[in-house]
Amino acid sequence: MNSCLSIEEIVLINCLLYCENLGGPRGTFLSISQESRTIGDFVDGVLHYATKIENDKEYSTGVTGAEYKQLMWAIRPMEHLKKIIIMQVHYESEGAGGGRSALLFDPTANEAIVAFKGTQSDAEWIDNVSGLYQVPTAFQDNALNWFKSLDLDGYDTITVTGHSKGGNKAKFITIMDDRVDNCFSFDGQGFSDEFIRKYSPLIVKNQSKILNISAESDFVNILLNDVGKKQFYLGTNYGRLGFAENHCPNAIAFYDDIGEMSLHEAPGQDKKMSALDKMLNSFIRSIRMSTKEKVANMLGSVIVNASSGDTDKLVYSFSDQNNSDSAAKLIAYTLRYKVEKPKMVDSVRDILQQNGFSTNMLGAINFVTNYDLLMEIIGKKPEVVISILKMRHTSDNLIQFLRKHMELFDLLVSVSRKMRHINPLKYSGDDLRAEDATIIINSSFMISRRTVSFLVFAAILVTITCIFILWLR
Amino acid sequence: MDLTASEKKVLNGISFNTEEIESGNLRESDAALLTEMRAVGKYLIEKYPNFHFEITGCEPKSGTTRTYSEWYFKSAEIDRESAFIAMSEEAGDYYKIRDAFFGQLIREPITEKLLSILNNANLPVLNIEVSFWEYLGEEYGEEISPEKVLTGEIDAGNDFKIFLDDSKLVDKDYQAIMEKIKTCLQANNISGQVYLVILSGENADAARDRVFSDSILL
Repeated sequence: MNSCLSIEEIVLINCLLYCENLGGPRGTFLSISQESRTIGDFVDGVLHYATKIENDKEYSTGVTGAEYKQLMWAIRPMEHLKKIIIMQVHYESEGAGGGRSALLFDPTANEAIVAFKGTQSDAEWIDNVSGLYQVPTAFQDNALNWFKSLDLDGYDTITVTGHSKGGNKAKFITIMDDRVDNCFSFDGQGFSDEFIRKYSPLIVKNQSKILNISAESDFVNILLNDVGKKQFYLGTNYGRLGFAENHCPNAIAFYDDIGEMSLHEAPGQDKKMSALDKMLNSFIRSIRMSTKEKVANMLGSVIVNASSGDTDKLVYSFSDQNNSDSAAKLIAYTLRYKVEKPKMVDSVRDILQQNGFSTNMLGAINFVTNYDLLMEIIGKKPEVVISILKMRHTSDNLIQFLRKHMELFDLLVSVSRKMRHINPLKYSGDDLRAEDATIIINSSFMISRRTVSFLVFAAILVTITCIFILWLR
Repeated sequence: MDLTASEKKVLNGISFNTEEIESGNLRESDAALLTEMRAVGKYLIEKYPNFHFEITGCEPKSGTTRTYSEWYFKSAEIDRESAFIAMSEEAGDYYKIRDAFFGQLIREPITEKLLSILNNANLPVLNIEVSFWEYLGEEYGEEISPEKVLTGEIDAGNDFKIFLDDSKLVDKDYQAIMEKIKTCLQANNISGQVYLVILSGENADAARDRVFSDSILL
């Protein structure tokens, strides 16, 4: 990797991408009107109107005006970063859900920096989860098409970066376009098994250019298979959003007494997130391709409602008729997984509690785990189940919770049925590595195992056909 | 409910309910988004009757800190890689909609006017880029007056980028040049913000061959 940008500068650039209406429309970084300005000009402009920025107001998810001001003051003495020029701002026009990006230019190093914002709305999750069953996704394709349209001749170095979905786009482009020299993916999700298998030779070729900048407790960077090197960083204190703030772009930024920003490397990933990562991987691998879209939509719906911090909405996303079968699969899988790896449910409980959710749902789930056969028989009669729970001196909170969410009983019966057909240890939870999906002949000739399988199958088919024709003659 | 292919495409990009969208049996939240999308489409047609638009995407406010949704659209008459944006905000039983498309209609006359003023002041202008920070509503349609925008009578958030040729500048005192630009634009009642970029020569690259840049508030 040969970028002249420091990791701090990369993180700050990714934070800037989210600046929107800070003290007025001039405080939007990804605006076409910013083209030709330097980052220093943008920061000075925002600070000029600093009194109009409300300290307690959230200007992007989880990031307040006070935090943005802190960020701007941290950039002010950073001469190298301030000289970077905003060359082009792009608003995605094809494929719904938005998406903004920018071409930046570092004149001191003749380096092009292509930066992708992670779209912020709930709609982002539709494309995020489509990565489970689509290779590539519409947003990945759009990002690559725009990247290819850029005139990048004459730059000594080409660097791509992005946060969240933007980080995933940056990795995708690095894999698909050999011109990229460096990729800094900041809490970007990974890729599906299908993607890794399909593009394994390209991944093997380009993954050394990728560095994943990962918050130790982020919940997006754990999704799917990672590509590239990974460095974890400590997270800062949580604000209004609690646990969800782990995914905010400023979550790893620390400031000293004079406002200077620094990052602190963490020894590794938070153990809870690591456990969740492995369970999700093995769960996704247990799903047939034909039902992956439904499962993906359910997961997206659950994540969207979980991030809203509303327990009722979260329950609804499980019991909703479109999701209930997939949700039952996920819950049944989690419960069976729990039997093998009991700490997993503790991790989920911690995450829910830190996020302000009621953990009563886990109490109901514990009951199903222990009495799945009974639940399958009597689950259709909620009052009977509640009576049994009362006899067992179950907490009033759980009883009230179940009475409030009677719609959960159908789901719990379905969970009970599915539990007995699941073997949670059948599928590995480890990330699939491109090297394991590739046959490497030499550095210039690699072929994916998927392609080899296809060729072998085709060869067998042709041979059988020839033998059959010869036999007919 | 009958949906066009384009409406289905946009909704599918912002909703998990693929099957319902395909069948037209929309859920409440998707029906609300469709109503909003159609309101934005109608607004654009009524505001700019001589143009044809297609809404290509949306970033709904749900999940963001915004009070409005952003609708991405393209115009058949304008060849531009980036989408245009309209913002829609619920206001009781209707949507308050604003857009940035008006800039396309007044950019050229405003650029010409600025060029004329700066040429008269003997400034070696290489290029002028005009953009606007504000999004304007239905009150400013195709007939929007470039003069009123230039003078700030219509507050569009004028932003002018002026690129000068350093090789033709006799006086290299860039602060004095900034002051000169400010004086001559103010003398013509021009309002807004200017971003001055001085480049090394006529064929200079706007990024690599930059000698000086700074902002001027009019």
